[in-house]
Amino acid sequence: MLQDLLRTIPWFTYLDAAQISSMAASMAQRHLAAGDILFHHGEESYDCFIIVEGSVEVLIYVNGAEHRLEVYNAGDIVGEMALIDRSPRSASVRAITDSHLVVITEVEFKTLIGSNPEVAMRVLRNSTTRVRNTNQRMIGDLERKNNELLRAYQQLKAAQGDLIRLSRIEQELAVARQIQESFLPRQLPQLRGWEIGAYSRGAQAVGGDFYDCIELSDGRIGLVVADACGKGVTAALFVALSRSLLRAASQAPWIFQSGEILDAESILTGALWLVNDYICREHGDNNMFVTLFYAVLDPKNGDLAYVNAGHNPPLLLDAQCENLYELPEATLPIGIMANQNFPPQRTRIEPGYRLVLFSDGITEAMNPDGQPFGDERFHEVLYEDGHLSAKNLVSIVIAQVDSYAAGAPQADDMTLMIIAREA
Amino acid sequence: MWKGVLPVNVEQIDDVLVVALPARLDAVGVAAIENNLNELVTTHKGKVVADMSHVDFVASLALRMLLTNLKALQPLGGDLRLASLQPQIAEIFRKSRFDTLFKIYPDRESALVSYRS
Repeated sequence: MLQDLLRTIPWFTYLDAAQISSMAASMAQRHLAAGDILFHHGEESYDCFIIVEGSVEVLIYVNGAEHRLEVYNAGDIVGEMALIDRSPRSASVRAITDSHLVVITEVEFKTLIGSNPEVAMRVLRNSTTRVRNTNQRMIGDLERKNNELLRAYQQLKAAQGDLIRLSRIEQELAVARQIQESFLPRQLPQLRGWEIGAYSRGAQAVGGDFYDCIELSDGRIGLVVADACGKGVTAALFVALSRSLLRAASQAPWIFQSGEILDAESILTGALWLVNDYICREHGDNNMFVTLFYAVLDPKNGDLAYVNAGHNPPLLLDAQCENLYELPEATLPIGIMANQNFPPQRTRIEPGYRLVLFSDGITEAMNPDGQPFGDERFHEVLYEDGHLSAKNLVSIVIAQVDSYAAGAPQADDMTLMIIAREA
Repeated sequence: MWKGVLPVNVEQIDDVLVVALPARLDAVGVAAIENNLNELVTTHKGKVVADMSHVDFVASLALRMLLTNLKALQPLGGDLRLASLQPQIAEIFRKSRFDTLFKIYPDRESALVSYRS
């Protein structure tokens, strides 16, 4: 019986038997399954409800997201605010479990409140507690939001700091790149009966390759192509070091030591011994090394004395562009073993022949499928276009490599130098 | 013993540590294994064989990595010997003369045998 049920609910304690019985006679009831909505936010309905059994949740929606404000259980009153101030529902209410509620109309509500000041007090206390709770929750939410904003602001500031640092590093790299470019010869030597073309491009802002043409005594010229281990800044530092040492060591005997003219072999072995020994002694712990081809060319007769310190063997292309010869014999690269000897070799660049010096960035340039340009393609270009001037031949090779790479990122530094003797 | 995630395949055969290196030893490949390989080798302190049968690309940084390990082992009485170089890798060792720094064997078995004699 509803009458008996109402007696067990504290709200109805102060009603007399007649009031309870008349209320039970007219009172509507609601049965909700779990998930059923009791009323929606914004709805204009002015009944309130007392939960007899089960539990419901009070929900609001912020930016499409559902937030649970409160949970009410058996004995709790729900929805009395709309009834008191006659305004649309301020939130939605949904059953959490199957629930049984009695519907209190405005008339019945007045009867309840009138039955005893204690009941009125209880309604007031209920509402006040809810307002207080809501306030606290809002303040808590605001504090949390504030903290989140603060954190986001700090992260933003840190990211901005990173950006500034990055742009500073980029600026420094740009300066380093300019300095490194000044390590390449400003202009290639003009030798009667000879033509030299050269090109170098780093895979990163600064590179680990370099070429050089060093003026030596008696009109001779030192030709260098080198590749420091790795790429980027570490390699670039070793380029700066080895290039400067090699230049100084090659020119010093001629410039500073009474103008005595050394033979090509002495220049090569002396300079390389000094550079290698210095790097091994001072920087040996890094196990950094530089592969380097160094030749002394006498333009008067085409005599070429050379040392190949672990570099890709240079190629000699004959006058008919029909045969390529690899220059034989190499030693270990620079920087690996102290006190090492670099025995020089000799050959001659005959009229019409071309000497091709290069780094492995040319032959190992990758296409988008990860396949290297390769020796074969390189040789094909040399056979095909070897009759061109040295500068044009250099341009053609680089263009072929770039077209083969088809936009794939450059994996390694590329350097190419071609020395052509007129026929 | 070294404990952790192994970047390379490691096997101990008697007193020899056999390390199988991955296919691409470019800058990225080297960076991925360099530290662990070094730790592995310096902890072992003895005879090491690098099985290069899978290696189809070596950048100069890979040569440096091998050299660093060789230089770490030799003063301790150990050695790093190489086995099963693919032809194009053997060519790189020949051109750079790194073939004079390492003892190189056609296969893993002959590298192991070389340690027994």
